[in-house]
Amino acid sequence: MPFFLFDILARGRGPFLKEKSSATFFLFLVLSLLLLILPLKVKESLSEIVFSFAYAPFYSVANQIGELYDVHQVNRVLNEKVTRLTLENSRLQEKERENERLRQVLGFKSESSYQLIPAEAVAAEPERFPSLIWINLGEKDGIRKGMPVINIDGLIGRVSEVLVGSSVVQLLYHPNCRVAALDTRSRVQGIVRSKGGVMLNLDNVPTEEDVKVGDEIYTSGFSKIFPEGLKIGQVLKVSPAKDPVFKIIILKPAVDFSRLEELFVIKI
Amino acid sequence: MPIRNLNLSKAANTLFLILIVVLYQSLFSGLLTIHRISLDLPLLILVYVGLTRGPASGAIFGFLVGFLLDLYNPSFLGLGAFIKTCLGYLVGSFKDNLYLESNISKGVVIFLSLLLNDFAYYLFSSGFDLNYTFFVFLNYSLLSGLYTAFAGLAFLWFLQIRKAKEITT
Repeated sequence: MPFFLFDILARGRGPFLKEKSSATFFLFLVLSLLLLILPLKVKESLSEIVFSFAYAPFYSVANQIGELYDVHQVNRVLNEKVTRLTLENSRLQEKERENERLRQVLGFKSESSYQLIPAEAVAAEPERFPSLIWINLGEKDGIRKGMPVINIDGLIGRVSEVLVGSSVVQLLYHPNCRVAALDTRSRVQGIVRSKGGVMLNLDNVPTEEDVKVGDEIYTSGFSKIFPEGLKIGQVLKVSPAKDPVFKIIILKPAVDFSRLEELFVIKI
Repeated sequence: MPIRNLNLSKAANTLFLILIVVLYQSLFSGLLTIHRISLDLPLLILVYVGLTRGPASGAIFGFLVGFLLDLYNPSFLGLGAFIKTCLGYLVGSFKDNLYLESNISKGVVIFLSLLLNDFAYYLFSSGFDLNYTFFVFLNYSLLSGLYTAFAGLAFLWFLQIRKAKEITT
């Protein structure tokens, strides 16, 4: 027998101790159970209040230090990006004008553009496998349940709970998150969901459909939650058809979920 | 009441440890996470409190730490507190039964505590979805348990070496 097990067993006394300890234990056990059975609204308010005292000051300091530390590097990258995007923007404006002209010729209605609300991620679930994050905007900023959340790289998730000054965002990794998606090359449609791990799955794609490694997957807009044209990820692996009906397609998310900072909530 | 017996220095010490937990969660937890395998410092401190102060202190500290961690996910407010209260009490019950000079015994307690904590938390929070629970448990909890146990042992050995040096000088 390993000696450490012997250590544990060698002392004669049983593990359950004095009445005093038991009373404390039961008191706190009851307190925990009371917290568990509180209505969700009360839980949310209580969490928000305590969070703003316990964590928010530290997160705020950490964010400021982090911002100062990264500012030069980010500035250089952004300058580069601005130059590239300015060129791209002028090219796209030209295309839009041309598109609008053609739409008018064909009698199509104009597409509405989405209003983006800039937000910041202030905290993430302290799990090894986080699927929820907190943002610094809430009901008073016009945030509503169900609004999609993106960043510069693509779709992040949707707002699942709205509090007064903050909101909870359910990430694509969340077990309950489903997104109607399509392959931009072949226009094949499917449902994106997480089955655990850092990758996503594109489900409900019949085996005979054309999906290849490297294809880009965007929201299709068929669900009423996510508008079309938001990048979700890229096909990383298409498994040989073991399943006679559907393919197994693994996606690499477009967004790096471990580095969520500046986000945008889409006002729909 | 047992709480009345807590003396001031013990309470100050507890507050200091709580502050470490809050600081770690808000500032450093991301820095010490490797490929989603994280160092569970709150649990490490909970085991330390349980083993050095006994079951009552373990239960109180477990409740406080669990409550603070539950704030991140209000839907399950109380679940972490419940599990960590039980864990703190359980670990504290070993205070007089565990050979405290043996670091390996402590490492085993840290490792098993983390596994128990994670298994219970994911099982309840996923609505008893065993597939999800085992997936997270096998892919992340086992490695996090080892990471946390080794970190705890490394810290203990560091303290012992420092103490030995102080004695010799």
